[in-house]
Amino acid sequence: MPLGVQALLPFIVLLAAAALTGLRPRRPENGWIAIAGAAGGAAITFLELIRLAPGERVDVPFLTTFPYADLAIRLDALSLAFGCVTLGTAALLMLARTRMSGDRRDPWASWLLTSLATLSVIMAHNLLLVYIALQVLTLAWTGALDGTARRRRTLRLAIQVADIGLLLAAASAIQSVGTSAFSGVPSDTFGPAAFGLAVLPVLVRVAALTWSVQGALAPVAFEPAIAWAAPAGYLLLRLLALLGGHLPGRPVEGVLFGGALAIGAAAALLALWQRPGLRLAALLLVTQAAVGLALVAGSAPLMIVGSTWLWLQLIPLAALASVRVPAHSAAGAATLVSLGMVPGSAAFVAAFVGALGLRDNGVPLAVVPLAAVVSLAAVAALTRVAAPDRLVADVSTGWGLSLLIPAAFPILVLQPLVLPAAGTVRTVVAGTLDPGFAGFTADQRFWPSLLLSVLAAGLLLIASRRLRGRLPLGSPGAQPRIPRRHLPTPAVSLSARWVSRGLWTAFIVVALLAVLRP
Amino acid sequence: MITAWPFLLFVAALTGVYLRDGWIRVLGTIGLLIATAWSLGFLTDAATGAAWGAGPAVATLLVSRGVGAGRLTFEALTRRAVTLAATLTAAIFAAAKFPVGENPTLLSAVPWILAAVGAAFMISPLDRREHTQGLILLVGAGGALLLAAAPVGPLTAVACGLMAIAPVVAARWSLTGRVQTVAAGILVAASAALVAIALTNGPLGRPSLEDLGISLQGLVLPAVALLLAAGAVIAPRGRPWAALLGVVGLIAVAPSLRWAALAALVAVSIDGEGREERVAWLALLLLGVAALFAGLGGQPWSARAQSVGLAAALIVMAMASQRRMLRSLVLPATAVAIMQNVATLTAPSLARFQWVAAAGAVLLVGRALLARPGQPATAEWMADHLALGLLFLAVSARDPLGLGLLAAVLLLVDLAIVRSAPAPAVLTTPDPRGGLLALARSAWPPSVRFAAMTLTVAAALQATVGMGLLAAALVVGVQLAPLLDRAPLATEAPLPRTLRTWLAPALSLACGIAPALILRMLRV
Repeated sequence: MPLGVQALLPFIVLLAAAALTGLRPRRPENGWIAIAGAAGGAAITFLELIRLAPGERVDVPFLTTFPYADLAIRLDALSLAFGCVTLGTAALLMLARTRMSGDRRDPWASWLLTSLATLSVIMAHNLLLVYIALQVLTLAWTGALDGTARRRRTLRLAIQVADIGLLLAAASAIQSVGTSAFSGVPSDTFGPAAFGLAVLPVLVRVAALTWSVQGALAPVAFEPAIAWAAPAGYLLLRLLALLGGHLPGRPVEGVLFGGALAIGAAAALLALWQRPGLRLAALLLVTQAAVGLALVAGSAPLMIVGSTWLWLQLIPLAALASVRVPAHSAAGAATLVSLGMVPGSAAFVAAFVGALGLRDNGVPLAVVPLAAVVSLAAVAALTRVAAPDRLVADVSTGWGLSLLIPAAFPILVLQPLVLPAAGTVRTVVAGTLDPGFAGFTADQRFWPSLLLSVLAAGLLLIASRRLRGRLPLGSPGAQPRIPRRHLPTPAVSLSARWVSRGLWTAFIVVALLAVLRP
Repeated sequence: MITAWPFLLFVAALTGVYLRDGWIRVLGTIGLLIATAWSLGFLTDAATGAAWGAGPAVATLLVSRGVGAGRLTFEALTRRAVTLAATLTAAIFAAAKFPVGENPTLLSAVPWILAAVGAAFMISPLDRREHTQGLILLVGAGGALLLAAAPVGPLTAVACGLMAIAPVVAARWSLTGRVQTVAAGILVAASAALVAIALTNGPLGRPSLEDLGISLQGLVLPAVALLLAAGAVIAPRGRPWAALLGVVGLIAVAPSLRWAALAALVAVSIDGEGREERVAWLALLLLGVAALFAGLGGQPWSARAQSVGLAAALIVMAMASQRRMLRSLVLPATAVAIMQNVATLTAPSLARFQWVAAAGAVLLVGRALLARPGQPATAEWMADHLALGLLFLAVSARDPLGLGLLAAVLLLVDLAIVRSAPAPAVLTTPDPRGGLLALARSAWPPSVRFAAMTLTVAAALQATVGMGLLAAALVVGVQLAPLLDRAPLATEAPLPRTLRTWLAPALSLACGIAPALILRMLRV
């Protein structure tokens, strides 16, 4: 099969499914068509990923438009791993949605188009194309053709405005090196300012995760995982890959690490006062994203591996947190354990791998704040975890429990997904992290993750039986009061006429200066 | 002494025009034109002078007022006198500052004074016919001035003079019904043919007929196609043929004919006198003065003033272009004419152009913000002004990749065609095609506005970091503009399913999806 067709296959599958569900709305089989489309796309990207040689990158051009922005697809381990996880998560969300009743909306075409747009972001070949795809993605999940549409307007506009930072970074790359293609931008192209602008879309999308609580009416929210978490994680790691795996300068590293951990700590602290529910989940998601953001601050390969793992698992986790589950269910408990980075969860192991890298990076003490944030999140989650009344075999339960499996058997995700993806961001020398059956070897020491998971599960079970009702730190619902400050109304109201005259005067002065200045 | 005769004839004719009515006034006006043609004959050659005079004279006879206009009030008389005095003073000052070679000022002042009389007629007219007469004199005088500054030949002079007939034609006749539809169809077909030529053929030459030269190189061909398509979109206004004046203004090589055609376009694009008309003529004045600087200016600051004049002309014309005809035809024609000039500016002059363009963008957006509460002229008031600001930056960003040029053309497609087409009631009908129309008019990809904004930021950053940041700020403004405009996307009734209805959205999506094709047409 020609390479161009192979690269386009996931897009074609998703588009075909979207066309089928869009042209024949309100058919009962539409849900299954959508699931098949998303799962098919995920399977194709996974096949492409395992066929890729280590370190291989394939640029598939379709249309040579401008020298700096070809219409092309980038196939490497990072894009394929994120594409595979995102589409797989989308399929799971659709599956969960088909098993739920009470919502008569027909979201399939819209969800498929959103998945397609996210895949476009992930597979785009250059920064300009990524910016365009991000805008298409925003249009796809909001459906707000009309700029005045009120639905999630603030969030939409915030995302749109933040994306302009990426546009400026792309334009700066075009100005510096004549291209914004990933394969053509040298690693020293971006300075601190350009990096700061480029990372804006990531920060806003992480912040958007807290908005997921506003979609509480829907039994399944699609956006948090597919439209916000996946592009944010991918974009961050892609930027890091463009920078050659290290940020532009030590000060930037320090600011990013400290800032991200401060955000994470704040979110975890706020989570301590939340009831179990969407708001708690959103805050813990932000905490995890902040830890993932902090880990990219270092250039040690283990930190990159940890961050990549954290971001990759954040996508299905954010999706699971967006599915409404019954109280005291196994799905809810498993979700909270994963969200809280509790020992025995994949997020914990990922953060642990990242922390191992901090020593290689020459800042072993930095592990203290990192551990503090993880501990806060774990406490917030553990104090809300309730033992399930009974084990129900449903999609959410299976999903929640399966998210814990990579913590015990990291080889399942490290070998096919995480290590190749991290290797795209920064070279990971063989032996840096060797996954085995029941654990992994890092820094020439074996870490028995299976044993840790079993121990953690046992302790959790015992604690949930013994300490039920005693642990919550604050009374449920007692949220810290943040006094609202109202901005004072300006005492002086400027006359529009005078402002207009001032503008004209300034313009005339500029024009005169332009004429008179030799 | 003989060189003073045209001036003396002019003074005598002007006296007749202002003191008498009826046919004496008509003869007086013809006398003004004969004096100017005579003066032009001395400044260039007799054939050129005579050839130029034919057009305005015919136009004057067509607009003739054989009957009296009645008595004027004291206020009207005072206003007319003050207006004439002010314009005459400005004209005499300009004539002294811009001497044509070694010729006496009395001789070279005659076209300036004719322009002053035309401006006075336009600003304080007795009635509609005198207003039209003022436009004729303005178009003619501007052409004569530039003919004197850059002599060409009799054929170009005839063409310049003929441009003065356009205001009369516009005042007397307009296309209606089936003729209008056929004219729109022809314009669309011609536009499509030009696009095909621009995409397939190699560089076109500069054909000429005697001294009348035209150029179809580079930006001109796509710009002409744009104007013809815009003419089809505004066909319901009854003057789709006005697009042809813009075409002449773009393809002509001689600056005199280019200016005269643009002036004629402005004259036919405005219904009735008003502030917009005066602002548009101010922009034309700036454009003409910039051309004069190129032709006559021997001062060290001539090049600087020329670049500033060009930028100021673009800004002032954008301020004037609030209505459909001006936005669709005059703005693109003027902008393209200025872009052609910008391509020839030296690096220091370009930097001056960029300063003024950036200041103009800030001024325009600031004025729009201040005027917004009381002036809901269009549903997309702020967004359109921000797009105009982006246009200034795109025009001034002359980069080696041609991004600025491309962005400017795309913004012109958006402002001239897509925004000028009536919006369908997409939000109130379940018709799925409504979504496509709404997408074409939005700032989302793949609309032309999105492509243009993106390219403008990239192009402006190539010029300077400051301009890039300003462009990004304007794009942010466009994204937030719906909050300020607070108008629904569409409020009008559903549209008929005609070709013209779909032209604007189809063009928007085509340009937004494949801007590289436009770049290919521009041959950067």
